[in-house]
Amino acid sequence: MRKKIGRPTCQVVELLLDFCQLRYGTTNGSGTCPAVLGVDSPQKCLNTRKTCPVPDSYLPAAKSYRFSNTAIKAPDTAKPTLVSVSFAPAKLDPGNSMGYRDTLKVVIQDTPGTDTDNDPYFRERSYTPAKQGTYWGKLLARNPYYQNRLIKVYSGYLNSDGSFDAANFDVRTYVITRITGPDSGNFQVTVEAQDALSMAVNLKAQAPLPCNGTLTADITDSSLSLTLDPPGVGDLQYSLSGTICIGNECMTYTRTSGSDTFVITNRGTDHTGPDPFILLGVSHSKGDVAQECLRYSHTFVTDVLYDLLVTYGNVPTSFIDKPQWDDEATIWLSQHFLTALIVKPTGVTTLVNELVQQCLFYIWSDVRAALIPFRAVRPAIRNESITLGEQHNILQDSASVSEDPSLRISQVITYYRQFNPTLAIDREDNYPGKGLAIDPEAQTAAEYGTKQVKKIYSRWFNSDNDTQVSTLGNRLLAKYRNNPKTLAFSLDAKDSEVWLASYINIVTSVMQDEFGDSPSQRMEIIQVAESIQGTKFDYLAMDTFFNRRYAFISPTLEGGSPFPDYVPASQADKDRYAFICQDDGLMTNGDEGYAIV
Amino acid sequence: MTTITVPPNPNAKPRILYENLMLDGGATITFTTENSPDVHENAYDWDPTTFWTPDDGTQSITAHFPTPVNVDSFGCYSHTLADNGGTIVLRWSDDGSTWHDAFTPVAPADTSPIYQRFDLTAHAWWRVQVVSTPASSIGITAFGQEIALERGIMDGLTPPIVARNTRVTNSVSQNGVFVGRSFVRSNVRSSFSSDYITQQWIRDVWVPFIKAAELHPWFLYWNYSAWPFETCFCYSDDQASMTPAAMTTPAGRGFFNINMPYRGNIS
Repeated sequence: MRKKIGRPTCQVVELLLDFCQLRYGTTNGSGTCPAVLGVDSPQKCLNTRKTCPVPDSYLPAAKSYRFSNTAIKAPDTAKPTLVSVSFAPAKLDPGNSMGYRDTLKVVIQDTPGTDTDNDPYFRERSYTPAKQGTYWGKLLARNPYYQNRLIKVYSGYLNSDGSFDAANFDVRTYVITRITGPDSGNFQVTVEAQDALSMAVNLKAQAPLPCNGTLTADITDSSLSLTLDPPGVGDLQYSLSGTICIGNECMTYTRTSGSDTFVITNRGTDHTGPDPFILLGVSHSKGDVAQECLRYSHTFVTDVLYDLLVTYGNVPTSFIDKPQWDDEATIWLSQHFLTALIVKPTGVTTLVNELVQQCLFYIWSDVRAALIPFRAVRPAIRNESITLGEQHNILQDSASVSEDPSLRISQVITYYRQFNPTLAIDREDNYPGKGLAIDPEAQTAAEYGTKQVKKIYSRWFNSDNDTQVSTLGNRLLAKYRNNPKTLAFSLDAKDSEVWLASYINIVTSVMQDEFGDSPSQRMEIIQVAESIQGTKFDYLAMDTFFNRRYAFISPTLEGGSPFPDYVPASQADKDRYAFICQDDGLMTNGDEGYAIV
Repeated sequence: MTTITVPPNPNAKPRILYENLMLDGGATITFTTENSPDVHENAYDWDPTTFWTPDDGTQSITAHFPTPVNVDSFGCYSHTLADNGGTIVLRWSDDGSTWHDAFTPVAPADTSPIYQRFDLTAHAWWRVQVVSTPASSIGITAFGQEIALERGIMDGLTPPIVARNTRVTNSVSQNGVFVGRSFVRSNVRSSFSSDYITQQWIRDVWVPFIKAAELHPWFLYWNYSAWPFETCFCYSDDQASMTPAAMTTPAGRGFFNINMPYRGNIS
């Protein structure tokens, strides 16, 4: 539909709020509501948690509230009270951080409401719903617990007869953060939402979880037992075995269920190296806080990431395709097993950003797929790239290119093999391991003339990760040794399969070589904004330094037979594996030759 | 309930139905079937986005008024009758048992608003009846007594069917190639006016209509004689104006010119 000339655009916003499946004081297909009118409440509820007189029996499911910006043919309709939808689009920061969040702002007009769709008992009320209050005034009073519920934006096209077909719409999924209004001037409400990764921002999510158990008595530097206050805190906040940190000392422990007494198995653990980094047992005073630590021991990178986002970041598991993560990481990050002890509550975003930076991958919230994909910093597989040009794709007067010299790097220093996890993360003498990658040519007067040093402090890499440290430095230099270029351009909706993290091969007159020619450039989309609904999309794309046709060395056999030559090989084999090319760098049929990854 | 005093209706003057006796007439309402949340109240609440969806077959909503009420017109909008081969009709009865069609049942071919006119008649029982298999959804029905403009519409009127308010956006590539076009389905937007209206008519007919138009939509049948299938489901776009007519002769004193801006739907 988006490729059709003459597309009737339409936007629908759908809020999914909790609504009880039972009916007051009766039995239906979902069960029995035990409420008694006049006993449990003076009037019947409104099937929301706020108005429920018997909350132990409350049985919520998501109810859909839909609002559109244009009339939709009956009966698949929505209230045509949608005033505006605006996005602050997500921006990728590959190999550096989680990037910027995708945020949404929706403005909806308030109106009188008959309650025929929102109140199962509207005929029994003592008032006339259409004449008392407004649709949104009542909805918000009934549903104060809207935070972290889903809101979906359908952006697309109606059928020619004005009917709605979900197949013609992109659906983007967000998490509601705030609703304000209705205001008395415009009688409008504003709904704000963010992508799923916003659940893991530092303010909301920390790892490990904060503990507030305190010593009931002084302990000496050799005590092997301690008890915490308040009573019951053991089961509430601590595992049955693990590591705790009191002051600057870490110690391992075991505990029995129901007990607040910890049996210490080792004092002064995880403090290695010379003085002052090594720390054996020290005394602690009554009232000192014992913080449970979070330990990863030789754990695969995607397992660490999943634990941080789901267990501590509150990201719903429905947003994560773990098998996709594992497949990608197994191919491109197969040696990335990580070890760390996190001794105090640390923002999940901070920890994930460390992983992104040090393990060279990135994640983003794909609101179209309602997923958080995982991708290594790697070349595009051949059929991943979309070709774009100025004849049929790039919109008039939309393309411009810029550079960001602040991102350039000429040296990468990676500090690792941390001595003492209780000390400040950026204390350089706490790391005996130091990986150094330098591009001396870039620092000469003939080129950029200055050093630009990037320092990385890794709590995750130990002596098993020397290879990863070396790879990290070299890949960062390869990617950022020259000022990264960013290309801005716009496309018609017919090309909107180009989305966040898409690879493109683009030819544009604003990117020229030294001869004035415009060769095809391979870039990656780092930001997309739908600037005119259903019609125009604005993009930012960044250089990828993987500008060749990359592939792996193939196996010797396939299906028991010798691996085929290039021309008869399947497209899947051609995309994944490298074949020997001719002296001119091309295959026998003229296709581009390979570079081995 | 508003009593409308209407002068004799010569042909071709625009008709407006804003009365909704099922909603405002103080009737006792009964119905055959409904499927929650598409309850029968949705069929006469002036909201085109809420629906009455009964079971299939012959279904109805019946209004029993305490005393006979005058009705000469019926409007319907936002329905799925055309998709299902359904029909709709307004019926009347004097005893609640024997029923008569007020007009020949309408089998709409598309989703255009329906407006049916018939001779003024007064009865205590009125019924909206739908025959449809599979079941159809009905967004709006209204029946009551229409009004007619006292003098007809002035020259220069843009009929609703050509008063389209569609927004179009084209996409052109860097090399000047046309690559795409989108439009936002919108409504119609127009106004109608009439000059040299008597003050008495203003007070008896126009002001009650204006008050109703401030609250809810209405049906416009702008030329039922020449264009019997062009009906518009309207809502006022701004405050209607009533200005004294220019006085060129003593005979011109005391007359008003009226104007009503509106938006609406014709499909």
